[in-house]
Amino acid sequence: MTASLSAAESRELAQSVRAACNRLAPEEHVRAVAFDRDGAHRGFDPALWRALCGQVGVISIALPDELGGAGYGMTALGVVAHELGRALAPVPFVASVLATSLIVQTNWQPVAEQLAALAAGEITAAAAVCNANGEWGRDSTALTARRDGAGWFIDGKMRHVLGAGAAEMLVAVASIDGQREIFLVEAASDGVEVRPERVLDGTRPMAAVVLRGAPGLRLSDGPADATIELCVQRTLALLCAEQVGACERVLEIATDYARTRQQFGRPIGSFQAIKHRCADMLVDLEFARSASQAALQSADDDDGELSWRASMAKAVCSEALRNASHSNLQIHGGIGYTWEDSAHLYLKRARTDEVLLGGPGYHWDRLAAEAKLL
Amino acid sequence: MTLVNDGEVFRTEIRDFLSRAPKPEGLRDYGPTPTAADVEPGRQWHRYLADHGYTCLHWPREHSGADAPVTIQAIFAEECANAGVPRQLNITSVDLVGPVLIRFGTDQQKDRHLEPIRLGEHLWCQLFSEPDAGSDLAGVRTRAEKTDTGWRIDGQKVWSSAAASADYGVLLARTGPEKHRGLSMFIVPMHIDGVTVRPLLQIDGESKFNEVFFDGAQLSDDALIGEVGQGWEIALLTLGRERLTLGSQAVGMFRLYAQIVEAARDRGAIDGSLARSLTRLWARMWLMRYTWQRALDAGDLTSPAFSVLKLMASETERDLGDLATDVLGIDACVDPADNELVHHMLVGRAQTILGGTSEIQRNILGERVLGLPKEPR
Repeated sequence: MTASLSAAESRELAQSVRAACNRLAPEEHVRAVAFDRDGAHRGFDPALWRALCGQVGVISIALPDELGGAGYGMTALGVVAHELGRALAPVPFVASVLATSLIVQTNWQPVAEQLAALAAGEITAAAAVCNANGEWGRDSTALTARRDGAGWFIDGKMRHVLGAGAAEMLVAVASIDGQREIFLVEAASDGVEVRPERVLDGTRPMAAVVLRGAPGLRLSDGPADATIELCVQRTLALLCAEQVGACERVLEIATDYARTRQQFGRPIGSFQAIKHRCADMLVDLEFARSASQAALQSADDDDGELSWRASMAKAVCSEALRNASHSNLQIHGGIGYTWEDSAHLYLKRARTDEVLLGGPGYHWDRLAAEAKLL
Repeated sequence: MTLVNDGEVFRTEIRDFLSRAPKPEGLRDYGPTPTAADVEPGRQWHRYLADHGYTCLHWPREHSGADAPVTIQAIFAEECANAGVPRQLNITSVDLVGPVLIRFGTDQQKDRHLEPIRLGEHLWCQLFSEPDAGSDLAGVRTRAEKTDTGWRIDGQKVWSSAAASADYGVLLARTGPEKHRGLSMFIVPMHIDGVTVRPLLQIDGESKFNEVFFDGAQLSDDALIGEVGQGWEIALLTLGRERLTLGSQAVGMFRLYAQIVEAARDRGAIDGSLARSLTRLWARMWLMRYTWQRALDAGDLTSPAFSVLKLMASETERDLGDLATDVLGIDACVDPADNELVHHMLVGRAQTILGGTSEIQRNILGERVLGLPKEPR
């Protein structure tokens, strides 16, 4: 049973996250952390993350009471995600949510201390749940686990693991005799190699993970397909809320520019070619907002609808943000193609979020299959 | 919270009522406007609803309405759509003219007209658009000239739904040269001398809208609604009301969608590409309905969620009509009278024109919601 936020509490939460982002993650800071031209960037700001975890409680807000959390549900986390998406905040929110939810859904008692450190933002975790290419699929995993004496050891490699470069811990989905289970691996262990990758969106740092007999703590006590699926769906709902936040901000940026940029002696936003493009962005945004909220609500209500709603949301929100980021760049004209303008930051976020945990095509087909059309 | 509970109680109540109500012969869900053949069963049905307190839900109690919140109106509209019956004789009388008379009418006008509207005895039409004043509605040229006894009307109106069956019309006419301030609103009895109605045949073979010609028609002084020069303000009140019940269209859309899927299965036409098109459209219908619900729950009639509904609904409905024929293959060439899906393809073309074109809707979203500058006019 999850507690729910009142409308006023939601507004308050949104304001506090927005204030923190405005103060600690303005655009120039996002650029310094994630788009440094020297290539020295890490894409992750530990100070910002600690502030969000410590002062706002962005992870603990949805943790159950017995873990020292506030017991609020996904809709509350969605409010946080929306604001982080608006700001393109360079923090490992999505990766942390997926990793912590996988831990919380299993036997977390032996790792309660690590969980508390995660919630406090003192350490971060990444989740390795995809196939070797880094693609999400219902049955995919690239890792295998074998028992040797008292311990478990994990082998395999996976590309594009979100947030793995800075993570102290990896939550790894590995198969035992073909059945997927959940393990915790310390990133500093022998047999763990993490190679940061060069990525399109610096605020979404990724790494290739290679495990060669890396020691893992088995958290699940049997096949964990349902748990993994549930955690991924919840994470999808949050990722969508981030996309909606980014989409809302992109529309603001586009309309601000259309209101002020003068050509032919008047603001370009007075021309229908521009105005109608902005109106279409607004319609897409409201569709996306509905899709994301419906998925978050199902996650909280546990009404059995989350699976298809998460897929629908991922498809709809990805397409909305992609289209909005393209329109925004087009409305800006030449200036939109420069490094100095913010249009590319949102474009790169859009194109990255779109393919994380399944692209629109994958999720449309999943939805079609649920409707027994395929 | 109580509102939602009340809403669900009301939903059960109304569903039960509708399932038991005797349906007049020939009654069908004809939408917002009846054809000539729909008027008689529509009138009887409206009277039955009125006798049980289910018409004019949004009217104040002093005029025998129910003072119902938007949520209740919405549930009623949706359950009627579910039951396959119209929710009232026509939209113009109850939803557009009623609120105008209540807000701007004289006591005499209210006494004379509101009760016959509530009971479905009088059918009203809207006399707004003209051949040269469509999207640019304020450009109407039909003249109302002051005479000793009242007003003399000359000009032409078009796209007047149900005018051929109407007892009264609300007329937007020019009383002065200023574009907006030179407009006034009048009540026109449709059967007086100098008023000629000519039905227009639509591309789908139905005849819901009409041309109306005024050739020296004489109105008395008490035909004026509000003040001289207040016509544009009154016209604006009637625009936008339809958004409140727009989401109830989703019911009909889901029904049509089921027919499309069935037709596609019958023809073995479902492949990966069609499955994806169907799924996308289903998602848009579902999200249109959800957006409507979200806007109702938030209770803010000026929210962007409400503003986008007309565009969402009409373009989704249009695309549904197009998909309907995509699954038919070669059979898309048959007479629309013989195939409902072909008929829907044609009706889909009207959705993005009626009640304000999609182009005008985009202007409104750009200017009123996003605050973009007006285009040069």
